[in-house]
Amino acid sequence: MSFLNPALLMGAAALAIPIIVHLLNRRRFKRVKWAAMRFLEVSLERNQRRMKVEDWILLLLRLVIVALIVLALSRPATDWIKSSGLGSTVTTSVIVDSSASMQRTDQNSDLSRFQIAKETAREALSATPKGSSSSVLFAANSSGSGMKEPSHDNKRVTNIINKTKVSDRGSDLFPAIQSSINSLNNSPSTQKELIIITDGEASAWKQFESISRAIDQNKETINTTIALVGKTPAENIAITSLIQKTPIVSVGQPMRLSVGITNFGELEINDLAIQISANENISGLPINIDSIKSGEEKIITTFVEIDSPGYLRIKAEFDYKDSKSVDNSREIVIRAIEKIQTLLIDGEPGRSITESETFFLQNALIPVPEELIDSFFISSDIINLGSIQDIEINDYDVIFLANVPDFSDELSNQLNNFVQSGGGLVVFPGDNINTSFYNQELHEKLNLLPASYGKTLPIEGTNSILSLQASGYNHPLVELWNDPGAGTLGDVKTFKAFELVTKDEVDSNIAIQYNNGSPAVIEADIGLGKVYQFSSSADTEWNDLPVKAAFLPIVHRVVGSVILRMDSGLNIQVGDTFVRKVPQSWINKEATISHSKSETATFINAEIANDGGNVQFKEVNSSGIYDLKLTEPFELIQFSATPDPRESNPEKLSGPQIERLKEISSNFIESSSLNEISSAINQKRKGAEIWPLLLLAALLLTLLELYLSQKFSKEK
Amino acid sequence: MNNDSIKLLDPNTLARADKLGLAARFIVEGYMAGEHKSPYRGFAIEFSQHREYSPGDDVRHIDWKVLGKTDRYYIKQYEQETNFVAHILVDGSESMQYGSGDLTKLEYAKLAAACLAFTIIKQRDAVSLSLFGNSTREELPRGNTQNHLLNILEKLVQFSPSGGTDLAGQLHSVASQSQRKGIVIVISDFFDDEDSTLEALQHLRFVGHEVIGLQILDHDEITFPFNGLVEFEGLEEIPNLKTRPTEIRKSYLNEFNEFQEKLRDGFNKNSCHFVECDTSKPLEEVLGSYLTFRKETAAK
Repeated sequence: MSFLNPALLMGAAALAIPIIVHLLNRRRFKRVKWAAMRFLEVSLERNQRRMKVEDWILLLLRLVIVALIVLALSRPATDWIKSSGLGSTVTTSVIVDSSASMQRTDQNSDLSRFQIAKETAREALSATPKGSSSSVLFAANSSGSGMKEPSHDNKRVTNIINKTKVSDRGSDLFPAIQSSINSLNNSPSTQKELIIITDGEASAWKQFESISRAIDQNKETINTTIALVGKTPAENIAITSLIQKTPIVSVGQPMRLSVGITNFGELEINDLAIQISANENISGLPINIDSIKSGEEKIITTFVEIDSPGYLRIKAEFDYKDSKSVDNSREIVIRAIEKIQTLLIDGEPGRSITESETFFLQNALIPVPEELIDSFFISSDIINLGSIQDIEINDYDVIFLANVPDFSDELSNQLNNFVQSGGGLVVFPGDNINTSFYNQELHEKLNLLPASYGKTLPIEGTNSILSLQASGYNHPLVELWNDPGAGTLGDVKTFKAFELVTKDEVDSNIAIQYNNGSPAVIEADIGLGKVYQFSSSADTEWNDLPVKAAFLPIVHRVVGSVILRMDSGLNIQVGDTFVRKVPQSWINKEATISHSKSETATFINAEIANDGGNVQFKEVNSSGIYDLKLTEPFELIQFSATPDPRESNPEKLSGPQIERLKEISSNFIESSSLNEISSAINQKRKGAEIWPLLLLAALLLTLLELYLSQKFSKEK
Repeated sequence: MNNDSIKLLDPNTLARADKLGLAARFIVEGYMAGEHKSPYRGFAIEFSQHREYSPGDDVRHIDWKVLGKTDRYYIKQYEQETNFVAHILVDGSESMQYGSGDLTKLEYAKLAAACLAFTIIKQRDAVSLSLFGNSTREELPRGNTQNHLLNILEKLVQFSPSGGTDLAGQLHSVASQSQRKGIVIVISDFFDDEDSTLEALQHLRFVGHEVIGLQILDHDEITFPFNGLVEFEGLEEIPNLKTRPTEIRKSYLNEFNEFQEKLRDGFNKNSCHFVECDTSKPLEEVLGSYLTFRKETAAK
């Protein structure tokens, strides 16, 4: 037996009340001088024993009544009595793991883990005593959907449980646990219960320390039940990655894809055929993997022919029956581009085209003979700063500034908006540039440039020539030089450069660095766009990169990364928020967003942003392709949501972690049997609250006391 | 006569007592002119003694024979001055102090004694008074004069109760000492050992006395009406008792009624009158009804 209001047991001191009343009554005797004492004496002698017995009976009854009331107030609960009508009211917060791993169906079970978890939650809530309140959170990678604050409307809670479907999200239980603990702590209830139903896969407990600390710190007030459903499956193989490897996907060009397949099971898998399809049309023959050992990840590379522009759904899948089928395929959306528009603003045109600052750039961008220029997927326009007013910069995808001295605030803002809305900006310095303009206006004021231009390098009197890094190509821009067959950048000589000084507020990456460690190229994501800031010139005046073979792939990869950045939002992870910059034409128009397999769509509105609008969609719970449609005029943007590959890993909590959870929780259950879990949860409840019985007993005894005291005080 | 004495003589009571008179239950010794029947009717009245004449004596009572023989004046005294002697015994124990109404039992008893004395003396009968507790505390020998009445009243008024009761002892003493048969009127609550009392009653009857028991009871003693928690302080040095009266009321009343029944039976068996006086009832009613009853039974 336990007490929900143990402090009120102090009220046992009230047992003294009947005794005190008895003693006080002795002082309240009316005194009467009496003559006929002989009759009194005889009567008393005859009745004394009876009256004493009656007095004792009444005193005992009164003590028992007070004791029962004190007991009732301290709200004892016992598991001797199993009755929902008498149960101690409890505030229960149930957290159901709704992540992708809960879709698994374990061997010898007809129900998926999520179905077992939901049924367990329903059983646990239906077994709470009358008057209890409850809440339910479905935890997958966020603070969870459902109902955070406890409600007495159990029907509503049950409806939420019934309606909620398992998601393809990854999971992190901590935010939901923290949220539930906070809401339980705010609840006035004296008996609080947190039930966590999950499959115990390590990925959901990635914040294990925070979770165990939160449970441990509140274990005095909150009884935590942890129910781990599901067993480690013997087999699970998954496509854990599907990546577009070609920087620029253009019509008529083959696109390179890499497909990652991981065997999370304990058995080696042989002869696995991976099939690629584009827009649900099979592309090429299946790629056969002879064998994947347990725990092994294999990356295969394949090509897909792109024959039309626009959004393409690329899917990799295999046919294999394992415990989780959702990760047996993976689908991404790519955007095939017909032509990439680039604008080169030349700050030093020169007397002939070969002397211009952009000569090498343009040749690198379009490295084809003149007759093929029109059919090449990149086009470029070269202008001087003076003719900038004649063009619409938003028509371009990437803008290069080559040794441009400075420009108006208007153009600065235009360039900033261009980048913010997804454009690419590549900046090359030179002798003409006004460094203070770049540093103050573009770097300090607009945060458009990730770095300011510092002193010139190399410092005179030291090493007179700088070389680009010869190894350690970590940035995607230069990662191909990790292959020794591709040559090296170490032979690129730089005679003059500006030191690039970054500031903490702007997230930037060093794309290429000099051999002395100074950054040669810095890259940063600004808004939805991308900026590359070079430390040296675009022509051969300060370095010999433009005449090196590496220049072309660097320029192409710069352009490609800008395009990839534009489309990066097209492939998100389930649970992430989809954000897409949309044109001005979308503002105040009705758009819908829907999963390709769903019959329903969600209406969505574009929010006004700096340049055009933003569409945001947070409810990305399922993996697959989503269509974002503008009805009038019709426009379609497709994006893909892929599951967190960690969800495919069935690795369970470690032994020490399980031991720790057993230690801090009041009830730890590992089972896939619905009955076992439900009965274990119910058994651990504090049982029925017996104060109504005690009060009833006190009432009956009070009536008995009244009856007896009347009877005893009758004339005898 | 002081004021207290006058109070005792309640005019209403006296009027009733006077009107009805006191009819003797039995034939008493001595002649009684008037309404009393005497077995010695027609005979000379019993000579008692001579005494020297003193101025103021009735010359009719001068014994002329003695004068002739001795030339001295002697008055003849006769017992005919009194027809019967009533011995009024008033219980003056502490238990008589109890009173829930206007009067205590003793006050009621004193009043009854005064009324009876007045009536008897008015009938020219003699009255003796004895106020007792454990022993005789005040006593007046018999007399039938107005002065005697005044003395009786004086004694009654001045008397205050104390100590316990030895009613039986007192009755035995009267039985032993009084040489002439008379009426013994015992005014008491009779809260004493009833067997001893009845034994003493037999003694009195044996020596020829008529006995009238006037039992003075407070109304509370008859009904025991108390409620709640009561501590009864024992009079006559009996230890206090704490109890809830309602819970023993029946038992008390049983005891009390049993006691009363025994007393009544005892008096009846000894051909004595036993009159229960509730102090809440007017004395003239009680005395009046008793004297009426007595007159009727005497006429038979």
